[in-house]
Amino acid sequence: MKLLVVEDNQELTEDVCTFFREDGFVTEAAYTIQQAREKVGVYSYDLVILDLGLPDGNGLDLIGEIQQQHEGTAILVLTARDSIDTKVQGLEQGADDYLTKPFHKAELNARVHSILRRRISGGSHQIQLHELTVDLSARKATIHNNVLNLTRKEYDLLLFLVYNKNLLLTKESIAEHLWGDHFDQADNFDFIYNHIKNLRRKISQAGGKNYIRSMYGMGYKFVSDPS
Amino acid sequence: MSKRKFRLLSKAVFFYLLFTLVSFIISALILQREANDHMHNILENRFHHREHRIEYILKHEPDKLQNSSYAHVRQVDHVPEGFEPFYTDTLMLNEHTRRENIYRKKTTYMTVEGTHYKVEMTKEADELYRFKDDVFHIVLPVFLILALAILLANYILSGHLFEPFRRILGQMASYKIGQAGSLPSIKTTTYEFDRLKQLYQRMQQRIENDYFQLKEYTENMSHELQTPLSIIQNKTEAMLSQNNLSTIQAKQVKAIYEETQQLSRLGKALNLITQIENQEFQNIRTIKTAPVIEGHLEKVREMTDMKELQIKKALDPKHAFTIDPGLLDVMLRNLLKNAIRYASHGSTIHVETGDAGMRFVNQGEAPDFEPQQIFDRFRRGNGQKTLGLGLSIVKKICQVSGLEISYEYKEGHHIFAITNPTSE
Repeated sequence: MKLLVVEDNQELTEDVCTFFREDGFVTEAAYTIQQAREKVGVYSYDLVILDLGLPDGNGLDLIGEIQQQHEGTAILVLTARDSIDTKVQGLEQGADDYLTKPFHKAELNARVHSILRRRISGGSHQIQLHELTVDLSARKATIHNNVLNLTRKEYDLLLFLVYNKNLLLTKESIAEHLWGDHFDQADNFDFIYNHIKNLRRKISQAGGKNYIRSMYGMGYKFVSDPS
Repeated sequence: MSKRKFRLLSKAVFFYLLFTLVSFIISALILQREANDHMHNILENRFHHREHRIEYILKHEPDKLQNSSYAHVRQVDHVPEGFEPFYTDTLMLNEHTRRENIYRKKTTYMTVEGTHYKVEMTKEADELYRFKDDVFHIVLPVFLILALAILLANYILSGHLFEPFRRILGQMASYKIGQAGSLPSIKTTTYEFDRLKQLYQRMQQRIENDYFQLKEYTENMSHELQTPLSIIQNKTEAMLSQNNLSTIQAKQVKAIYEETQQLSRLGKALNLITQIENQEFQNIRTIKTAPVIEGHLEKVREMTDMKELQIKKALDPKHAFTIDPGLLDVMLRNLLKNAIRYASHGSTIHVETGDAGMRFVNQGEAPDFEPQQIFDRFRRGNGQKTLGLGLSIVKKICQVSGLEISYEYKEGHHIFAITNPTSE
């Protein structure tokens, strides 16, 4: 998978690139519209993460150009401009998704995977991890071929954890992922704990290992190698 | 209570007429005094003439004056010291016309050949009095005619003269940000209106400059702030992902992480308020509230379940607000969040819509501040960790959407009511 990150802040670009490189992506960075234009003109990418506020113009202008070059390139708009206008514009121009800063890396990761999965036709829509299989098209998870009886939220949570395996998922990022703006940050996170507890129970009842670890009381991590 | 307002022209005419009336009265009084003097002089002349005559008669044929209507003459011992002739006006019967007329009587003393006399003479003064009255009889109708003419001119001219003024007012009333320069120019030959127009145009320009600068600043700040926050957030998350932090380190990183989250939410909320204030949400349409509220209730079910809250809804399917859908979403979300946050554990939240508007009612502790301060920025209830911006955002949304929001705390319940004042 080839990924282009268009973002003027080098630190952030580096962070995002490193993160996806560790996940097996080939990443490249562009800091201006001009650089991005040159790269898109020469190479083809599976996904472009595009910041809108670039020093030499608005990233929105690039969306059309990218799609003209390679129809198969997915675009995820990343911006600090949290206005509905920009959101609608971005999606209307053909962006696949939209994420506002500051974002959780886990959220970005989940979105990227979700976009790519939708874009890739015919391929396997399954994630396999030891005895656990997540069937993305059927929205089902199985352990040793036993279907887990998950609620919608539990399935979403499991997928979020699996996409971000071996990463700390803070309670804030889980809450934002599952409840979006409805989540009230001031409230306690007990209901996340309830979901985690149920998920653990259902996995272990089906004969799965304990993949979900609690981290520093701050969040959870899905460990791919529980020993 | 504001005082009653009047049109400028009506006011001007009122005061003009008032001053005219006063000056008319003053001139009438002056005229009357002049008439008085004139009358007195004429009568005095006639009395003088008569006195000469009496003196003559007293010298030559004194008997002639006995019982004469010409003058009443009586012999006296001496003339009172320092005596001045005096006059009295009385009503008396005129022997020829058989009508009562005004007469003037002059009382004086005379000394003829060493003998003193007291002399009383009367003279008819009716005509002169009538002349005096005529002054008023003329002045009043003249004033009335003048007043009528002024009022008529005012009525005809106010339409024409004040036309540019009214058009300037119309432009002011309907002005929206971003229109400067696009409004049709108003032509006028009236100095004041021209000046007003110029000042208004200059003010518009200034407002727009300020607005765009503020907008640019907000956008820049939002952008410049969110990117570093993203980096801090990502770095702290990365640190926490490594499994080798000591408990103390983890605690510290966690604190940094949480404050970063708070900062980012603060920036977003303030940015949203600015956007609402700048009226950037213009996709205004009439939206039935029932399905939107249902959707929001569905999304918060887990939060309400956690606190074992009951949601009692009484939604009128016809109830609607004319509002930007994005703003309606933000408004409902914040009202619900607020109700859930401050509801007592296991209590009931009522959500009602109907002819009386929309109501969110939840049981909970009394606020520790004045009820009207609940919509202030950064107002948090009873030690809550929230930003304290949710309800001020709701209030802002109501303001720009022509809705009214009220809050009261009654019998252990927080009651928020949103009404549309124009629909009643």
